[in-house]
Amino acid sequence: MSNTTGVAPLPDIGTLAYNGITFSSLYHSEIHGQIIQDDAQRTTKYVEYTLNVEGQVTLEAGQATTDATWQALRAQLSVHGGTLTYKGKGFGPFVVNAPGPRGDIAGSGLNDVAWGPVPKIIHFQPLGASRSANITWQCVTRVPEVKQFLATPVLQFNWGATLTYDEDGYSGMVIAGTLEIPLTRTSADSRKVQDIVDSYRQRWLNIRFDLTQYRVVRRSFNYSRDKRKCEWEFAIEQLPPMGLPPGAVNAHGTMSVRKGMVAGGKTIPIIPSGKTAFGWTISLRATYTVRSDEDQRLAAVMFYSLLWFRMWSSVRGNIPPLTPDNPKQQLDQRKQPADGELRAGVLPPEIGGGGVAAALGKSKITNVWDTIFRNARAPANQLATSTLLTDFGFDEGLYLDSKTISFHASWYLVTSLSCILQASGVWRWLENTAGGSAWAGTMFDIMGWRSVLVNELDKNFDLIVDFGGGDTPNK
Amino acid sequence: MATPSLVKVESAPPSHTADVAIFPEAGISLPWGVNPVASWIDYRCWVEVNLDAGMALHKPLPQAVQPVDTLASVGINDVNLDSVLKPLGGVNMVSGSRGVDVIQRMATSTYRFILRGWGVRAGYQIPIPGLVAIGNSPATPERVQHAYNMIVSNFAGIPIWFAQWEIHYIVGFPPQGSQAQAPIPANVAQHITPDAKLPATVKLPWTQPDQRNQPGRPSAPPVGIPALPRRQ
Repeated sequence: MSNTTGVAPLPDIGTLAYNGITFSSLYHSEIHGQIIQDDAQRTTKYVEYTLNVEGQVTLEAGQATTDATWQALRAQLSVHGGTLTYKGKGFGPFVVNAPGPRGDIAGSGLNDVAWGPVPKIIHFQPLGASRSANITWQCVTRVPEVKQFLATPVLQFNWGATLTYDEDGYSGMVIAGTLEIPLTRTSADSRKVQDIVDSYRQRWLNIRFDLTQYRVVRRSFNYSRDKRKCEWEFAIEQLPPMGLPPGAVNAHGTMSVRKGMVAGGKTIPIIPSGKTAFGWTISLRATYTVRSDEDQRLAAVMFYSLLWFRMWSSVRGNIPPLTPDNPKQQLDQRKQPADGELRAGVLPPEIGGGGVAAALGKSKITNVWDTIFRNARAPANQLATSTLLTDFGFDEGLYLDSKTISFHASWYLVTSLSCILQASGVWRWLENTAGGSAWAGTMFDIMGWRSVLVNELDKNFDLIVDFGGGDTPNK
Repeated sequence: MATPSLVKVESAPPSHTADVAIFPEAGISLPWGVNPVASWIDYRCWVEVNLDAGMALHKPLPQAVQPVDTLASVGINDVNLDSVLKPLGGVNMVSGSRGVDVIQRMATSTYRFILRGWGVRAGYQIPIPGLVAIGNSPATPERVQHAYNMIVSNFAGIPIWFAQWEIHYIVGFPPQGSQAQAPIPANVAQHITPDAKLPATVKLPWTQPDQRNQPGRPSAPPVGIPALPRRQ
């Protein structure tokens, strides 16, 4: 098969060849170069060169027509990823995708970074009854020209952000960016995908946030079909004051305080007063989503911690004496309820000691809770409590709802109106059981480039499907 | 040959066998109203006063024909039923009788006091209350007395008691002067006695610092700015 565009009276000055086809001297060429900026428009990502060739195809020695020549030209000049040689033209050596290991870009010359070179046009105009023809051929190649960056595996990395403040003054942020890597074929007839941008997700997209202030609510990684580009997005939102319990990716709940006692489904109304003690019904309700690789029973432990703390807060209630001068009635007459009576165990340093911890082992979150409760301290004066658990129940999500479980509990509390806020434990919880570095330390490993599942894409699952293209030269 | 997978198969998560021996909730115990003063859930106790004034009404025989008195002022199907006004509207209090009855004192006034009530309490039985004195007069129980305690519920092993009582009393000397006041029991569930001094104002509930502002906690300014990876 022919591997030239035919015989010419004079030899070419320099060389123009692509994928095994060498042009004779009967052509003229021009190159247009377009500087392609990265998406941030701050730097040159690569230069896109468009090579336009116009020339004549002549008869090969011994051929009566140009049919065989054009058959080769059509096949080989239409293939992606072939070796493009354009030198001796005063343009500097320009060999793209030279044979050899692709990856050593600086050593073997230029490599295309976007599955090129990419032939664009083959124009044929017959001349002289199949004995000659005009050819117009265009090829586009994208190459990095800045030598110190030739070895970098990443073509571009940039991002933009949207900062929001909602009506409650809470912050939110969406960070979206692009990660792009260079990819091309090892040879024109290679169908294999050598690399994939997802392989760079851990190294480049392990974006960290201050999890003592924020939680990551959405992450997305959109991969282009050529596997070079990843459009990624992280969305975060500011945590409310209480935050989340260690090990929970989501949690919601309420505590309601109502006067009277709900007994047998009927509320016994009691008129409130400032100086008399009376009964309140406090209901605690919460729904938890525990991270999927942890024992789901942690949800119960989370609820227990809050229930324990809020019920023990009843020691800060006040029950005025029935008879002022009866010493047996002199209980809890504090005017300013004391603080710091309920204490939790000290967490390991890597959790609550000072900042966000490193990735945890699977059973460590259970150990965290065990530590919290092992050293939990209830108030010494247990006779001061005035509370009674009256209800406990839970709702478990099943099947597709099995991410969540809800608990509820109610207790009857006796205290005066003046101490109801403190005796109910409102705005308070056991130290290290919600928010802060305690929660951050249990979420650190799944709030970055990955979650519980890594979902690493397999490059071997992809291959380039050519129909009829990519034949080797000189065949 | 294994079927290729778009997403690499991940290794199975480590088993949680280490969690089998850990029971964080083992150290948790919830309080209950072990304080007897705070064990009252509801309490109603009152004293009903019955008075027989000792008067009798004597009825002399009628001396003349007189119409039959009725409280009705209009027939049920009277054509003017819907437009009847005073003096025909309302209860007919006009009597046709011209006789005069004789009212006579037969005995001294008899005061009877009935102590009734019920209560609900957690953990402890309810003591049945009783009257000791009415004013300066000792209260003497009479007639059949009723009282009982029963368990009506079980809150996590704590019995809920319900009690009810009815006890009748008489006094030998009717209450006089400043002692003539109906006895009113205290309400132990509301922790108030009938002679409680009325407050001048009602105090609002005390607040408390939230968990983040506890004394001794370091107050670090929020950071919030995300840290992005450096160029590799």
